[in-house]
Amino acid sequence: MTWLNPWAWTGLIAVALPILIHLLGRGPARIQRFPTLRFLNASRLLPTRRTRLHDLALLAVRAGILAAAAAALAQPLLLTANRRHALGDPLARAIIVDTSASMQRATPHGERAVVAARRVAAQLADSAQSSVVLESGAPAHAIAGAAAWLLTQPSRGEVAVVSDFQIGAIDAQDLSDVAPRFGIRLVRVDAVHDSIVETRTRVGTMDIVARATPLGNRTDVEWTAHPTAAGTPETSAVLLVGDREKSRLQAAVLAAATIGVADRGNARDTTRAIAIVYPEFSGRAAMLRGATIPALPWMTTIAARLIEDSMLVNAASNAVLTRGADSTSGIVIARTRNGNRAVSAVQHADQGRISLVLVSYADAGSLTSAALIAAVARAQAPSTEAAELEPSTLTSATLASLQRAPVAIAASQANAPDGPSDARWLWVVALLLLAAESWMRRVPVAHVA
Amino acid sequence: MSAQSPTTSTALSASVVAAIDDLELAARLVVEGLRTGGHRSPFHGYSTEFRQHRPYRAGDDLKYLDWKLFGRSDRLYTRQFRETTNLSVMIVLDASASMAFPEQGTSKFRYATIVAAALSYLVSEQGHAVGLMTSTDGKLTYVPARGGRPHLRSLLARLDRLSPANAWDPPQVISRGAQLLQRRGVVVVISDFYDAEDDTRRALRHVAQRGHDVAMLQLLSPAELHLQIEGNVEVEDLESHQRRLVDAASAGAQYGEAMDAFLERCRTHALRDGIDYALLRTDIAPEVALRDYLLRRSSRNASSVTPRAVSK
Repeated sequence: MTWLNPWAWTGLIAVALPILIHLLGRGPARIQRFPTLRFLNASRLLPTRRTRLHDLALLAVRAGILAAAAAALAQPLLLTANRRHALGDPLARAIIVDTSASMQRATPHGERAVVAARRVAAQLADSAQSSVVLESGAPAHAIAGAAAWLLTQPSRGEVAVVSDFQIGAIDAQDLSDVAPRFGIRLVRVDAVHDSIVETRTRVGTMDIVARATPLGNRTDVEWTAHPTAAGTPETSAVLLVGDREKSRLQAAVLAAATIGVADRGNARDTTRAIAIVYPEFSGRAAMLRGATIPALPWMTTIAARLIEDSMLVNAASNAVLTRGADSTSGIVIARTRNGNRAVSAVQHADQGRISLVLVSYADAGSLTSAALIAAVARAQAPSTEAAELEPSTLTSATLASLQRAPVAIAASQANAPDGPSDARWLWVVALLLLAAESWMRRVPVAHVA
Repeated sequence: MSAQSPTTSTALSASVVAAIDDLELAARLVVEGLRTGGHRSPFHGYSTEFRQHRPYRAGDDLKYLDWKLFGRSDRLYTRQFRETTNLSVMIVLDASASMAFPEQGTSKFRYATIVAAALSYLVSEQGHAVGLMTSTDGKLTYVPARGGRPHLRSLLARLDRLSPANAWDPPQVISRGAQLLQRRGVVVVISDFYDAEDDTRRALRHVAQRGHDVAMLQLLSPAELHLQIEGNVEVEDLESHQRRLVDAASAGAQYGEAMDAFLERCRTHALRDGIDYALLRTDIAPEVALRDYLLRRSSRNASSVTPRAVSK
């Protein structure tokens, strides 16, 4: 049972009217003067008792009439199964699933956190009338889009974020994009965070280790540096040079190594072969003859990262080219200021082994060469953001303070169900009571002792 | 019942007559009303001394034809009577509080005053003596029975000053009124006869047995004949001021029965005791009621075994 117009219940105040009339009407008895009492018998019943009984019944009926009318005006709606479905509180839900690196960790149940998050998202989507699921590595940035989608929905709306909620993952400022009438739901997926996180960075011949330790609401980081075991810097690509270039290349490799790059440790991906070919390499012409445009996805990704590498772009623009352009096809990675290609990328296949070949037109000992070696290392390094290493998470209390329920849209606007309310039955009741009332007024009081 | 005959178009209605302030004028209007129209005159019963013969004219009452003279002379003569002053009329008026009803419109007391004034006027105009006996506030008010216009004026003035109050003692007032008549005469009692029913009846019987011509004019308003109260009402007695809670629904029928029985009792006892009885209703014009009463009285006297009124 629900009421479409609950304010009409204030009409119940009108019930006070017959009660007032009843109370005010109980004044002294009417007195009529008459010549003689000789022929008049006193009435046999106690007058007060009789009128009180009679009046009370009438009062109840009159109050009932008003109550029925007030209830009818309040437009009751008996919630049958059909109506419940029709009413059903339609809700649009924009669900953001955090797919950031931290979500790759395992939950206490052994599955990956992002898998659990997707399952939660599916459940949330099922319980809403309309929903959209956004997957993002940066949920805070996806909130604006989710809020914009909710604005296109006619019903109540809610933004749900499923994440492990590392510290800094989301804050009130991010949520301010959501209109006040939309709800906010933050669902945490528990991921097992390592209690201590180590990050290794290689700078030149030094390995630098950052050891992060969560301590309540802060994190302590301990930095240690020690020489690499190899003694010479490693490069992440095969460098192909002519004999005269080798010394100049050595300088470029050392220069590139001073740019710190996060180390992947031993997990180097050997299936991705990358080579840099310098102008004086003897096999260069033969390699370029069978080269094609890079087609494998990882090659495209690496190429895209290189093109965007600002250090490489700057170095190449000022490069002095030692060799003219070849007639090979390929992706231009960087150009000189004059528009000549300084670095291009091609795909080379040799005895079934496919590799990405970066063709340099600048000298092996040039700044462009060093920038290229560093850029390749960066492009292959895991692009994990430092924030993703944060082991602490937002407290439940903080999440609760950020959440809010969606505001119901007024029934008259969106939720008005089809068909009339059940008020007509109450009107029938009121009419019946009215008939009973007039009948009670007309029938003389039975003489019952 | 005589009072239930319809009012004629010439009659002034009860309310109009009651509204006339001047009691003498009201009384004269009532008496003039008695004379007009095609009715036979009701006055002959009071005047009994033969005066002269007059040749019969169409319309004269055959009752007054002198048949002996017709037998001798073969001509029709009507006997005419001379008014005499040997009749004394004592009007006993009930001025108790119960007569002050209905409180709206023509009260029984106002009606009784007009009837008494009209009777006084009529009697006095015919040369008889008329007196008044009533009781207000427990004190007797007495106007001795005399003839003449000045006396009538003072009697009417006394009547006009009366107002109904408290209770009265009908046996005492009636007996005293009859005693104060010097000789046998007419005692007219105008009342609702509610009080001391048995004692009143006994007193009336005694008065009649002493040779007086006694008349009961019982005055009632329609509201008394048919109870007109609704719902639960506390009824207050006009005289004793007692209150009694009455349920109209149950009291109505019972009241009607009791009232009918009372009226029937009054009528039969009056008949048995040789007393003139008339029921006057305040909604019937006084002249109509009076004419009916006087006509019945004259016809009764004409056929009466008591020769008192016919010849003397």
